[in-house]
Amino acid sequence: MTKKDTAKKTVAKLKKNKHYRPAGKKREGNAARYMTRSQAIKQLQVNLSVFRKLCILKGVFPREPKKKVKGNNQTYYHVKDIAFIQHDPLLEKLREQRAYQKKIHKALAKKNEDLATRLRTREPSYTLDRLIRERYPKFVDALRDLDDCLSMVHLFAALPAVERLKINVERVHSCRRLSHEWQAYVARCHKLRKVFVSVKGIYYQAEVEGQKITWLAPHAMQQVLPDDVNFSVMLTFVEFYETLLGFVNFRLYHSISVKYPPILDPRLEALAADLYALTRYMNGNTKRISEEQESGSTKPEHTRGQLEGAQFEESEHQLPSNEDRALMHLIEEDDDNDDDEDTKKCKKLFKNMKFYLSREVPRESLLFVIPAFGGVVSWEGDAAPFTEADQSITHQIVDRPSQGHMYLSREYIQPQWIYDCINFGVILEAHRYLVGRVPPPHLSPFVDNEAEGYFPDYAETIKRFEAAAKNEVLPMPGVGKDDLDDPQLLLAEGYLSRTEAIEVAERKKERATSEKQYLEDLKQEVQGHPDATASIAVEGAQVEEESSRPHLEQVAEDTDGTALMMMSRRNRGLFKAMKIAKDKKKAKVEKLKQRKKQIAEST
Amino acid sequence: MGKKPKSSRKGKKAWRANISTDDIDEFIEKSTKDALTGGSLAEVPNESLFFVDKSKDLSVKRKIEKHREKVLHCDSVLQRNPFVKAIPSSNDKKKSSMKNKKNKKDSTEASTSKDDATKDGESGIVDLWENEAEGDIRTRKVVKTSVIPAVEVDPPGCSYNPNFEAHQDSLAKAVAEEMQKVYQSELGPQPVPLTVQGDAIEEEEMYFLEVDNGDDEANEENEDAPEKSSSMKKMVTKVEFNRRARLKDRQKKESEAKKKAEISKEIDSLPTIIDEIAKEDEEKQKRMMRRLVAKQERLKQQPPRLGRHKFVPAPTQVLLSEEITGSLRKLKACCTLATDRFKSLEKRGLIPPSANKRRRKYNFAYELRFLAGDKVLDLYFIDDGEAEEAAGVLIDVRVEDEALRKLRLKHLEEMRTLAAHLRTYLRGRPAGNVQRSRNFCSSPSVNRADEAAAAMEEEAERKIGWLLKVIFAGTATAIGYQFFPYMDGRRMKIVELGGAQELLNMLEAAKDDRTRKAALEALAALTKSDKAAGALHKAGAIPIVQSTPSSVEEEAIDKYKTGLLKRFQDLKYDGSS
Repeated sequence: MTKKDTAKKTVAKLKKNKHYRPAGKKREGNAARYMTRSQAIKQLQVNLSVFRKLCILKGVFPREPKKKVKGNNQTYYHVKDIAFIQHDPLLEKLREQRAYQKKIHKALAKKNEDLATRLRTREPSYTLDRLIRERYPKFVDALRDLDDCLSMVHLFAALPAVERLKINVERVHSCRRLSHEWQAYVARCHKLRKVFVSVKGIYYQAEVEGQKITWLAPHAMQQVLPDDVNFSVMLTFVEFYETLLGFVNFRLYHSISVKYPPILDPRLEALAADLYALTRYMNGNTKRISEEQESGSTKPEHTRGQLEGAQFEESEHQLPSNEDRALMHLIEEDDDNDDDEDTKKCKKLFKNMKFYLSREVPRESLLFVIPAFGGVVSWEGDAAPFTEADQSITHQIVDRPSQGHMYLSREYIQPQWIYDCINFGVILEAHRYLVGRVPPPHLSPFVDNEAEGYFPDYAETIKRFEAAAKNEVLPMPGVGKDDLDDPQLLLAEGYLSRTEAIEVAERKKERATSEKQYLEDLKQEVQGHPDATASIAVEGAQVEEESSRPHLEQVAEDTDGTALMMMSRRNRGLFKAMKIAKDKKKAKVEKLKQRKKQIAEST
Repeated sequence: MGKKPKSSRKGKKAWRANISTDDIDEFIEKSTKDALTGGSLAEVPNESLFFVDKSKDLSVKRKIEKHREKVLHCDSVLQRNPFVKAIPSSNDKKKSSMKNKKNKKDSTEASTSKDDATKDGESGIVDLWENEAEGDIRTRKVVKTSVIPAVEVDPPGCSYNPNFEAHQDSLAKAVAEEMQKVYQSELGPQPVPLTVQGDAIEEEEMYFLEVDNGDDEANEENEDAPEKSSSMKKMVTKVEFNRRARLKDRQKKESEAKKKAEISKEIDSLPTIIDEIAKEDEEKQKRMMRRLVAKQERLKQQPPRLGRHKFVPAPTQVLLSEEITGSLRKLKACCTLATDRFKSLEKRGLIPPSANKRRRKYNFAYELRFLAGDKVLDLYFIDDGEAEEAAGVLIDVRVEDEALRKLRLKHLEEMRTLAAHLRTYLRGRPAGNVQRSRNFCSSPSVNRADEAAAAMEEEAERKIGWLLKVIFAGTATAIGYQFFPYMDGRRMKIVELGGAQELLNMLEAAKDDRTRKAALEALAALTKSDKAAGALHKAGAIPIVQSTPSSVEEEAIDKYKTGLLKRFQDLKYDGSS
């Protein structure tokens, strides 16, 4: 049997494989689906750095195949991913760039400075717009993936420019600008939700278009460039993220009808008060637009000014002269129609409060956070909207043990108060955060206490305080917290009860059917038919058949038509055999049934 | 017409009769011809030469037209037949969609550019997602590489002013991480040493070794062989042969019976076997599930193995208990956020993890150790600039303290004390001194004699340096240096730095005469300076010198001894003190 059969089998195998492949040259499965990095590089005909760049820009990442054909210490990429890169015009562009760089090098090596400079002026460049559109087909996709982008941009905004690592000044500046633009938008629309100051940095969470976006901004201190970080990789990521954030900002700014590349007051920019300049710009811009909408085309010169764009004087003219009031306007003017509950709440948190930041507190963070919750803020320095001597200041944020001149009209508190107020959503008692005291612990708002089942002490006290505050603020009956929660609770209960009811009903049904069957069997036994046992057996078979019938039917349906065509000959034969057997069985059962009936009739 | 090269005028060519006049003749001929025909045609305008035929020669025209209208058969075949439908191309759809896209793109570009003109001036940015609902751009389903979020929020214990319990948790975690590293390094396999103690085996010997081994085996084989042959030779009787056959038969039967019994037993225990199989299957299933779950859990913590290196998570950034001040101003924040982001990229599997670069740091420390070690030994007698440098290195050593301790550096303590000494010494010195000693020879203010002295001093320095090296190394082979009379300051330096004490110790502890001699020699050289002698006296040199045993072989010892004691007496230090 053996020799002939094996020979047949091999022949069959050969026939099955259309293209014969000699043994040991198997290109199927993981071997065919994955390739190592060096193979990929060879296929793409680029060097490693360009390959890395392409992968990052195209969003192609290494994979872990089930079987690592070339060994465990290799990086694998999917073949289709590499093909995807290969079909991108960017590849050609990067090759071109490389060739161009060679030209420049050559010119320099030949001491032909003129040619080198001339070549440098016309270096080929590429844009990433298409890639962004490709990777994020919808705006929501881009928002969902913004966490890493924002963290990276914020980080690079704080890095020192180092020539050795190719972190140039322009990159740092553009990161700074983009991060400020984002912050200005979030603050303007009151989208910020949570802030957590950790050792690593400050975590922020905003909710934009229903997406929760979390990012990490470094503390205001010198960042170190560690050895174990590959900055060329980081820079490629930043390059991509910069473009992405630019487009996202554009879209967001336009959604609140503000011109996107904002034109900032050069004076404020020079004083490193970018964020404030941005808020002013946005404020002025929205106001102007609303004015225009109201007054139609009464101010053509304004629009012209807008078009020309570069005229700072004019735009400055348009900026509100009284900044203080402008900031106040910012809060009052908004139309509350399209805001959700949270945003409304956030908008009102620091309403009618005026903050003044001392020199030693983290200015950038607080300048972002306080306006985001409806507060008005100023700081010590030039170009600040109001000075320390302003009598209307309600809170001064300080972080040093001794103060010079203390105003009685305001509270001197530590910066943690701001963050805690934001996280708990209420104005906390300031006496715990007074200067010189060790403030209560700064709890993380990112921990769901109820899910964890553990409440830190301070959270408990705040909860109690919160409840008390709510009752104070909303003394009306029926609007209390419990009442507010009630409908939701009811809903949840209703939902729970319904599911339970369904389950119970199902169980009951099952039990009923089984009982019925059992009773029937019993009855038959009691009746004492001569062929009781047989009938029972038949019954059982029937039951089995019935239970299996839907399954078989489904199989038949599934394998109908095309599926049957798709089957191999052998399988088709098997299927037919199965069918025949089934039919036979059915016929037998029918026969038995008929007999039973006849017997019943005769008796 | 280029100039003809001047040739010799002596030949026949130079004769007047042989000068060619062709061109002149030609010109004359042409001009006469022109004069006869009425001017050259080239100079005449076109209008006078040609005219447009405006008369209508219909026959010619028709002929031309007819010729033009005629379609060749080959062309007619290629022409499209309106009744035959074109076969749809397989990639027709793609093409058309592409075309559409192109059109759309153009239109959108046009519109956006218009918008730009109206809205944004000359900014290059447009709204990318303006027509996202249309889905005109070819997009690709992005494979989510990891379940790990891009920004992982630190646990509450990592807050700058954490809650006590949470902080303890985070601290415990950080400590556990550290301890794990320590245990791993302790329990892990020892690295293969780069060098092995002992003499190297020469090539020839190696051959011998191998040969020896081979011989042994061969001998053993030889020993076995004769026995076998003897047994083979032994004759088998018929009785014996039969007996063996019967035995074999019986054994066979027995084994068969056994097999049968086993099989029957197994058949009897079929249900249990089935149960076992079921159990096994279940267990396998369970194991598989467990593995699957474990893998999922692991993927939540770290990326799959994506390359040569394993992912190493960044250490937890948590404040120590004494660092918690509750003030943002005094916060000792993490300044390596770049590492954090980079690790996050690695953790999410966006880039394959890179090698842990800590080794490089170790190497640096290692290098430093050698550098510093050498400097320590040279330290006493190198010139000031170098001394400063050495001090710098040593201070660096103190900075690298942690790394060095890990290396279990032998001379760390020594180096530290020396560094301290050195720093005090450097502080005490005028600043100009450094300059001077750097440009010793080139300094014009120093006269010739001084120069010679200085050169000698330098020499001495080197030699003493070597001596002290020797002392530090534990072997005492020294050379005298009594011929340098100019070195009071330097001698004092040695004394200050503890060299004298070292010498005394050496003298006291020396077991052989040569060492003693060397030490005495050095001491004698030192006592040439009054101050140094005083310092030696204070260090208790006299009793030690007195107690030095005199030797038969080395007369020099006695000489030095007496010389030293005499010197002390001269300086009125009495032996009892």
